Amino acid sequence: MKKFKYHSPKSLDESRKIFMSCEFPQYLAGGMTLLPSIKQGLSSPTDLIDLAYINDMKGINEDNNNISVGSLVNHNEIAKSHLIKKYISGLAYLASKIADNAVRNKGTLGGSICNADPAADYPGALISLNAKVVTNSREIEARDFFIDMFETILEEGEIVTKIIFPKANYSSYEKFSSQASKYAIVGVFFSVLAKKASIAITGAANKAFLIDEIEGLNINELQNFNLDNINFSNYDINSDINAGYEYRISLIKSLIKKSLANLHL
Amino acid sequence: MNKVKIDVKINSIVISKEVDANTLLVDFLRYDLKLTGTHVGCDTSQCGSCIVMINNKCIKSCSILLVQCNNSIITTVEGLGKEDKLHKIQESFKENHGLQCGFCTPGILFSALELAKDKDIKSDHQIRDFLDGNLCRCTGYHNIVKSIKSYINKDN
Repeated sequence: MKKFKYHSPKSLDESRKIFMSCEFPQYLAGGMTLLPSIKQGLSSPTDLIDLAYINDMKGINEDNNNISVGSLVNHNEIAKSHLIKKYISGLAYLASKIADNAVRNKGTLGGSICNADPAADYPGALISLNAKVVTNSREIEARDFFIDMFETILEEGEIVTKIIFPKANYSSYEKFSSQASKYAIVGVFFSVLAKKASIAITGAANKAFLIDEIEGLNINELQNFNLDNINFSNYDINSDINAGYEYRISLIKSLIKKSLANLHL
Repeated sequence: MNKVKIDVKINSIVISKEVDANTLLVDFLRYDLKLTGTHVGCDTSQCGSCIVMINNKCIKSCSILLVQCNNSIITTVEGLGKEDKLHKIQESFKENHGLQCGFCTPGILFSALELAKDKDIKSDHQIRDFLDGNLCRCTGYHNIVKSIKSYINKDN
């Protein structure tokens, strides 16, 4: 395996300072994507900055309206959290369907969103729920966070510390995944916040996107909504070895139908 | 590259030493400690043959750096049972023909132990779903599920 220097800072400031002083540094969270990438030569950092010792980035907490999840919280912790199961059950279910158990024990929410894989599960949940991404220097609307495939709005050395999710009236996740990797070929996150619906799709384009035609509908309007009214030519749906353009659209429609059929408030 | 000081407990043995930062846990187990019961199958985080327990959680040892395990308690299959006194999960696999070639078995034993702790997992379907990250190239899944169910029933 390629050589690199390892750092284990105890604070956000120290982490960022180390980052800025290195040639090609990378932050290490759970490492479930980064380490396989380094092993395959897809990533060659000179320095790995392990964030595991920073306590500010751990834990799941609630206040009146929100659940905040530390960026180092792993997928199984999210899947099993009583708070998340109670207030954002779709997010807990989503986390329980990421990869496999051993990966879920190590992979983190923050690591996943910063990697911004277009087929990852979380981005759809973040934008549908209108979550906020908190970093060491600012708060970013999740809807502004994802820019493109593997690209976020984060600046050089910026560190995501937590994600703030609103408690939802209702949330669900439906995924049609690659059998080998469990990445989403199409994933549909459905949420109802303040009685308004929002549906986000992951896996089907360069980044997760909202279905504009559905955004903000109330439950009655949603139940009468005709899926043929979605203009898919606006969404840059991709076509690849897993699913062609038309098949993906058909998957999106059937998973939305399934989400709506299971709706119970 | 720097050397990093680590303290770990592997199969109840305390190890304290300086290691290369880029050492993967699985390589340390197999090449340095000669604990070759942990297998490398795919080396790309898919197959689960390299799963060990770190602080009682299943982790793929091919996808974690040894330095990330600092101050952890690690159990490999060598620490599970002895040849003359198998762990109960190993006995269940032996009694139910839960292995053929045995390559995937160490990883599957640990997944089985973690799933057995989850009292919500009862049905064959749930067991199979949990074992999603463990591939058995002999395709002996029926007897693997049978072995795990037998262990869960014995355990309770």
